[in-house]
Amino acid sequence: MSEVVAAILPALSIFADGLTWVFFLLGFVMGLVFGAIPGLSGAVALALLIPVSWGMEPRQGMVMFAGVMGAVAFGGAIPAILLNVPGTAPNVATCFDGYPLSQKGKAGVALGAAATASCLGATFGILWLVILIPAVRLIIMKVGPPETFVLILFGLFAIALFVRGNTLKGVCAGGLGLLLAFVGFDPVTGALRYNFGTMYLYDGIRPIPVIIGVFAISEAINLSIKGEAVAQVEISSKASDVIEGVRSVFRHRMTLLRSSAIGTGIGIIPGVGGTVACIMSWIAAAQSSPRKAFFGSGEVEGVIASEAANDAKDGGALLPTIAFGIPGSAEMAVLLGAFILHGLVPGPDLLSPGGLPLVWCLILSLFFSNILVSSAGLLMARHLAKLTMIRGNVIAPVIFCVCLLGAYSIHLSIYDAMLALIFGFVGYLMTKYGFSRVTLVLGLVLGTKAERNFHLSLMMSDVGGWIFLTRPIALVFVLVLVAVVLIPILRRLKRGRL
Amino acid sequence: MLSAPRSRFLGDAGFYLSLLLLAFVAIVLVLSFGFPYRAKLFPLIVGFGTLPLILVDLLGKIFPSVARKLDALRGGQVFDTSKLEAGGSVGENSGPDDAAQLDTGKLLKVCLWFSGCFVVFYFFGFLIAVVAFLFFFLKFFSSCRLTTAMEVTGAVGLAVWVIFTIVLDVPCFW
Repeated sequence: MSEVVAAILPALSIFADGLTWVFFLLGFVMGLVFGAIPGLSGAVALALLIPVSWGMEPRQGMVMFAGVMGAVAFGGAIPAILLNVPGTAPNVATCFDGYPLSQKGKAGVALGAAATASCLGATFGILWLVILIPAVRLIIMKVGPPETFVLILFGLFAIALFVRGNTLKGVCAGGLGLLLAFVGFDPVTGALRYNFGTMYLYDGIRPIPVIIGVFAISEAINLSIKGEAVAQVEISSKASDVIEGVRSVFRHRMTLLRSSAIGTGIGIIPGVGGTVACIMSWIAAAQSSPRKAFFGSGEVEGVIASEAANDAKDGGALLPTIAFGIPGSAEMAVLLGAFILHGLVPGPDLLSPGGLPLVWCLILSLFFSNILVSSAGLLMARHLAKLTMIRGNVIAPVIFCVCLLGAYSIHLSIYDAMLALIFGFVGYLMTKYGFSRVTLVLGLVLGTKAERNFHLSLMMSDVGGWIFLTRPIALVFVLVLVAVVLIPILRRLKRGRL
Repeated sequence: MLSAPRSRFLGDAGFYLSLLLLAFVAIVLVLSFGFPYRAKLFPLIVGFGTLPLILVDLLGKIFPSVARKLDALRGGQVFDTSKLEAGGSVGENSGPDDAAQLDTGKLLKVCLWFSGCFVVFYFFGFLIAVVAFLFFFLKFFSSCRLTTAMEVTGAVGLAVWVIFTIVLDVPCFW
């Protein structure tokens, strides 16, 4: 305990310096803006600030980076709720219920709930970060290639089965996403696959332009064609709406806690990512809610689940980054780069009495950043909600231009912009004909990782494919997957409807 | 007797989308056979898993009786989505019911506008593309007033210039 106090006091002392707050606010504003613009994720904002942090004291640099991380998640929720355009990939799940709420004129409720759930979810994640730092090594060591492969498979199937609509088409889209992920160099043999002689496809199909295309540009197409405003009824811009959103979070305490736990847990597992965390917690919330039939059509509980998990995952993802130098997400990978730039070595050194004040600086700044962004979100929610009254065909070209530039600016590749455009039309047609865009994107994002872990599992196995059933954690996920597939079928058989 | 259902599915754009996806999976499978064992194993597993599912979907489009049986596989069996569909929600996977509302003419127009913006971007850089596309789209496609079109174009153009050119140092010409 005395060690913790001894580390917190020097960490807090850095906030007495006015310059620290300037850096913190710089990071905060960058995070909010980059979170709200599709394609410009937190990782881009962090990467941009790394050279800026050169010459700063490491603790001030960490404060600035935490400012970005705290603001990005809620920044991305704003366009997801108001325009059905996820600012960052994990905000996809926020669209499911946030956007229908906006259509019903309840954007204020959704924004109020999102801001509160973000703040409380982040607090939960940070608390677990503090508690789990000593125990993290044990957890990480238990998750090997077979567990990661089964977890990815479980995620894909669960999402295809639970996302609204045609399950058959959901699984098809997941398969197509996986096949798209195989384009480029094979991670195991190095063989070049499905590039059709194109240099651009040597590196494979990049997920970010595809995500921008299928979610954001397809929505711009939809808004252009429909022409009408997002809100299909007169919106209420009263403060009471925002307060109602805040209250709804406290009414759904269990959803908040469950989603925060899922977010933190998945955040800890390196590489699985926030998108899976948010969608899994949305599914868990829908399955356990008595109002599950209303999920996807504007249920505030869905927004709470997604946003709580999205912010809680940052606390979880920081764990392996600080303890082992294994980044839990793209943002953490960039943060690791910043550690190296400042001569910081993750692991025992960073967790020693000499390094702990810096870790606490990061943790406290992340906490302050989340409080600040949520407070700002609550204050601005009423005014932001008015955006949903703008005609669709006025806002659509703006979304399209920002998305096209977002896709282009990541690798300065015009072909990325073209890919985003193509997948914009593909995404629009997929929505119209009932194919799940979520499973397509998850298949693409996780495909390479699934293949690599599949081969690694077979290489380390003495019993071939049975390895997935001989490891306890993998077996649990396999059993849950089988149950998830069979229970609805058995339920129908019992009713005599199959 | 056969002509009515055939014309129904031949006129359905969703049928052609499924056909396109089937062709994509078939091509991937054929190409996979040429790769080394380890490189083709996982794509073949996924490809052979996906192919029959798309075939079943296509069969459902051709034979409505199959489609009715396929309804058992709809997400509604996990969630009871019947109420949502009746309410006309537009969330994720809004389903094939929306297919009937596909406005091909408008979609083609939007496709041309967006592709046009990309072409201008390709040849003249993003600043000219954004400003020109926004102004003309707002004025002629969205039928906005001249002042509104100019205001929105000016504000967005300025924001794009500041964020992408000044802050991010993104080159205007690729």
